[in-house]
Amino acid sequence: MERVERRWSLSAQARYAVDWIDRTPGLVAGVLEAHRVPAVPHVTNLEELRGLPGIHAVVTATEVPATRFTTAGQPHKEPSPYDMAIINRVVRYMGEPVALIAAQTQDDLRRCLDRAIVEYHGLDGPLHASCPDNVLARWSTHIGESMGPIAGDGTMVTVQRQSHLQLEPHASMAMIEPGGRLVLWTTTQVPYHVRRIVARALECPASQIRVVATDVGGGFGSKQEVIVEPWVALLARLTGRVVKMQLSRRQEFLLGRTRHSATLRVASLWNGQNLSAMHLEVDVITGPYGGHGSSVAHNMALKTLPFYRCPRYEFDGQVRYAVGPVAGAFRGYGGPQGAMAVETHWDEVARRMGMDPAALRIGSLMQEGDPLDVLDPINDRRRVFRGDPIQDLIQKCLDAAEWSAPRGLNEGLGLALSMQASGVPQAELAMVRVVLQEDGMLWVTTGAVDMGQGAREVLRSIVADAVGISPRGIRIVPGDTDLEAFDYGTYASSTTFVTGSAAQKAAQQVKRQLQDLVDILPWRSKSQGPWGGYTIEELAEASFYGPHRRPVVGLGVAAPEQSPAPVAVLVAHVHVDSDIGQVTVQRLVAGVDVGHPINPIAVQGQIEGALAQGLGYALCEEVHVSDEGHVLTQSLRDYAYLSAMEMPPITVILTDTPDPDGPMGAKSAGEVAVAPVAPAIANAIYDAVGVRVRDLPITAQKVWQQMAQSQKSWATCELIKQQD
Amino acid sequence: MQWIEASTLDELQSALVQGYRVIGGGTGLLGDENPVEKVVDIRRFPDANQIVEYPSRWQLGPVVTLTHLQAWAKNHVPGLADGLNRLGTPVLRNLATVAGRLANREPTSDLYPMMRLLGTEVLVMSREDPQPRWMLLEYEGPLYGANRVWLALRIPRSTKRRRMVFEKITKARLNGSIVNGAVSWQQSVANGQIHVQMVISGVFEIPCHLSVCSKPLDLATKIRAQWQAFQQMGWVPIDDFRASAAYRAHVAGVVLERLLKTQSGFFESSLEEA
Ligand SMILES: Cc1cc2nc3c(=O)[nH]c(=O)nc-3n(C[C@H](O)[C@H](O)[C@H](O)COP(=O)(O)OP(=O)(O)OC[C@H]3O[C@@H](n4cnc5c(N)ncnc54)[C@H](O)[C@@H]3O)c2cc1C
Repeated sequence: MERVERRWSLSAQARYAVDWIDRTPGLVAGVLEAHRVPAVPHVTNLEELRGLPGIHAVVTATEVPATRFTTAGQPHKEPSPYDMAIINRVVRYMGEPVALIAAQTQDDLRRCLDRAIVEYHGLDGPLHASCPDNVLARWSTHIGESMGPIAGDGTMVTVQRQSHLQLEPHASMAMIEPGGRLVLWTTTQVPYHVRRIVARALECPASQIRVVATDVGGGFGSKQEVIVEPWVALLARLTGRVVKMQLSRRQEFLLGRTRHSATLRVASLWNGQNLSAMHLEVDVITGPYGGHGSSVAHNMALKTLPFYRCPRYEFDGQVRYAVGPVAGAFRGYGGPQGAMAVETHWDEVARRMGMDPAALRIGSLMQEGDPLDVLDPINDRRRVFRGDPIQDLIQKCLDAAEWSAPRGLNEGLGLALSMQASGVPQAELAMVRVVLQEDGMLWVTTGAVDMGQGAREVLRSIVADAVGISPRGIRIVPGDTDLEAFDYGTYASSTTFVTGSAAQKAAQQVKRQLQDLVDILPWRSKSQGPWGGYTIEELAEASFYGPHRRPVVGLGVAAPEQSPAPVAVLVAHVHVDSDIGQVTVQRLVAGVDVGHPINPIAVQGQIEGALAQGLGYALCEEVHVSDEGHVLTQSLRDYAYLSAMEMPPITVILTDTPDPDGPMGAKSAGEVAVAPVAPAIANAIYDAVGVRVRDLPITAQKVWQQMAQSQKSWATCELIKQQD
Repeated sequence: MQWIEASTLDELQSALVQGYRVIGGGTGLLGDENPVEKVVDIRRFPDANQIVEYPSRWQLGPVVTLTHLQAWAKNHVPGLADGLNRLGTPVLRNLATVAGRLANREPTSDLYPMMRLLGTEVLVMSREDPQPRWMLLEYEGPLYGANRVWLALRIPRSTKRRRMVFEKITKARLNGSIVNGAVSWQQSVANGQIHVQMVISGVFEIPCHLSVCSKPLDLATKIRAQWQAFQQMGWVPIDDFRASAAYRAHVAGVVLERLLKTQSGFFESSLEEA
C-alpha cells in the first residue's frame, strides 16, 4: 500500500507534542521530586522559592483540588480506584511531585529545584489508609464442576517490571483560551479520556477542555496514562500562561509507568492426556497507585486460559500496593505475564508425560465456536473464537522452524501461544465522521490517534474501500476533542476493529449519499465509472452549489459486542553457551491470525515490533527497584534493552481468514505477538540444555546458575566448589 | 550552554582555566541528566581528525572517531577492528571519539583493554601545566580530570609477531557489559619467547592486567597462570544488580580461556616463517 502522507510527515509542520512545545513561547513546568517514600513532605522554604526570579508558581499538595482520580485512561467509570490527587499529601514513589513549578526558563527552574529544601515525615503502615493490608483487590473465581483437588505445586513463575521505552517521552502543553477554556496539546493514546480525567482533577466540566492529541512518537500503553496533562493544566490555570512540560528519560523511568511485576502459579489436573482442570493464581504488584492493576491481573487469565478446552477453570488472585514506580497499561496488557506462566506449564506437563509439547497442546486446543469469556459462566457464549484452526497455524510454524529435525549441540526449540482481543470486550465506542469537502477530498475525523502503527493508512484503506475512491483523496484528521468524533482511544488493539468499523459505517453512508446525488443530477451519456460519469470533484461541487445542495456527511458509530481474538503461535530457536549460560536466539517463527490483514506490510511491522519487545522482556529488560523504592535503572545505559543489531532472523506467517464482524474482515494485530516470546524462549532453553528458568528476564547468569544446580556443566560445578 | 572552539594551545589553556570541558562526540558528555555549562571543541586543531603514520607509530588526533579508527585498523590491527565492531552501534561509533571514550573512564569500558594492550600513549596537557607530555595509557593517574585535555594518542607500530583479540560479554549489546577481555601475544625474534598480556575490564572497579611469558607456551600452563593471578586480585569486584561478582569472575575465566585457545596455533607458524 502506498504511504500517501509521506510528504506531509516529512514537512516542517508541527506534528509531535514536542514540536508544539519547541515553537510556542511559554513557561516551563517542572517537578520537585520526592526522595523519600512513603512520607509526608514539607517544603520548608516555599516562600523563598516563590520569590526567586523567573518563578511564576510553586504549588504543593495543600493547594490543589481535593478530588481524587485515576491516571488510567479507561472508559468511565474506570475499574480503577480513585487514589490520586494532582499532588498527593503523602508521596509514595520516588520522583512523585512534592511540588509543581512553573518557571520562565529551564535555568530558572533548575535554580529553584536546587534551592528547594524538603523535610520528610516518614510513614509506617499501609500505603493507603483504605487498604490496611495493602491488598487492593482479591478474588477467587471457579467455573465448572470440580473433578477433585489439583495436586502438586504446578509451575511458579515471577515476572518483572518492564519499561515502555517509547522513543518519545511524555510531553504536554496547556493554555487558557480567551473565553476561559483550557486547551491541551499532548502526546496521548486517549484524548477523550484525558479530557474527562483532567476535568475531574481540576473540578471543571469536560466541555471546558479541548484536547489536541498530536501524533504519538511511541506509546505502547504508556500514553494510555494521564500523567503530565493535569500538571500543566493546573499550572496554566494558576498562571494564565502557556505552560509546557516534557519528561526526561530519567523521569520516564521514575514518573512513567511499567509493566506489572507479578508472581503466577499454574497447576492442572489430567485424566490421562485429557485436561480436566486448570488453576491460575496471580499475585500482582501495582505499585503505590491502583491504576490498571485489576484489569491487567484479570487479563492474565482471560488471554491464556480459553486457549485450552477444559471442564473447570479456577482463577485466584490479588493485586497489591507496593513502593516502587507505578505500574500501568502496557502492550499485551496481562497477556505476557499470563503466557509466561501457562505456556511454561504446558511445556513442563508435556515433558513430564514424555510427550511432544506441540502434540499435547494440539490435543486440547480451543476450536471455532468455543467461548472466550470462560470465567463468565452467564455470558460465556457472547464471545466465541472464530478464525483459522489454531492447530493448522501451529503446524505451519513447526514445519517452518524444522521442529522435527535433530537439534545441534546446545540448541533447542520452544513453542508458545498467545491471544489478544480486538478492543476491550463490550467496552468500546468510536464515532467517525466522513465529510466530502467542496474540492472533492474526503475528510475523516476520528478520536483515535496514529502512534506509528499506521492508523491513518488503515482508516484510509477502509474508507477508500467502502466509498470506492482512491486513498489519495482521503485526509485523516485525528485526535482533537473539539471535532466531535468521540472515541475511547487507541489501546487494547482497538483502532482497526472498533474505529475502523465506525469509519466503514460512515463511509458506507457517504457512498449512499453520493449515489443519491448522482441519481438526481442530469443523466450523462458516457456513464462509465462508479458515479454515472461524474467525477468526485464534480459531485462535491454539486453537493454544495447549484440546484441540488445537499452536503455529503457520514457519521459512523461502533459500539461492538464482539471482540474477536487474534492468535499468535511462536517457535523460538535458541543456542545456549553452556559455559556461561548466554542465550543466543537463532530464529523466531511467528504464525499470526489477525483475520484479514488490511495492510500486510504494517501487520508484519507490528508483529516484528511486538517480537522485539517480547524478546527484551524475555532476555534482559527489567526496571530494578531497591527495597526503599529507588529505581536503579534510571537511564538507557543502566536499563538493558536490545537493539536492532540483536534481532534474530524473523519469519512471519500471516493467515488470511476474514472475520465476519471486522471491517474488511480484520481483527487486530498490535499486541498479540508480545506474549509468546518469553515462554517460547524459556521452553527452547529447556529443550537445549535441560534447565528451566521461571524467573524473567532470563539472563545468562540465571541460566548458568540453573545449569550449575542441575549439574549439567562439569566446569561450572568445579567453579562452584572452588567458591565454596 | 556555552560552546566555544579552540585551535591553539593558548586558547585551549585559557578555556581550561575558565572551567570549560573538552567535548569529543558528546555522546557521554551531553547525556540526558548531565548538564554541562561550558564546552570547548577542539576539532579545528591541526590534524585533529587524522590518523597519521610515522615510521615507528601511528598517531591519532583528538577527535578521530571510533568508525575512523575501525576502518583504519582493518589493515593494521585486525583484532582492534573486530573489537570496535562490538562497541555500541554504528551511529554511536560515527559520533564518539577515541579520546572521548577513553577519557570517559568507566570500569566496563571496551576500548581501554584493547588500547592498553597495544601500548597506547596519550599526549596530555593540563590547566596547571601547559606543556603537553606523552604518558602511557593507564586506567588511573594523571591522564584524567576535567582540567585535562588529550591532544593526541599514539600506538606503537605492530610487527607480524604481535596479535590481539577481544571478547565482550554483555547483558544486551548496548549496555550492561558483564566483562570485556583483550589478550595480546608478542613473540621475541631473539629467543622465540612468547609474551602474553591480558586486560580484563568489567569485573573489578579497575581493569585487571595479567601477563605470562614463556617458551614454549603450553596452553594448560597459561590458563592456570592467568586464572591463579586473576583469583588473587585484591580489588573489590563490581557487584551491581546486573550480574553478581561471582558470575563475572566465572565469565572472565571462560573468556580468557577462550581467547587463549583461539590463538594457540598462531605462534608455531609465525616462528617457522621467521
Ligand atoms: C547508546 C550508547 C551506547 C554505548 N555503548 C558503548 C559500548 O558498547 N562500549 C563502550 O565502551 N562505551 C559505550 N558507550 C559509551 C560511549 O563510548 C561514551 O559515551 C564515550 O564517552 C563516547 O565518546 P565521546 O567522543 O562522545 O565523548 P564525549 O561525550 O564528548 O566526552 C566524554 C568525556 O570525555 C571527555 N573528553 C572528550 N574528549 C576529550 C579529550 N580530547 N581530552 C580530554 N577529555 C576529553 C569529556 O570532557 C567528557 O568528560 C555508549 C554510549 C551510548 C550513548
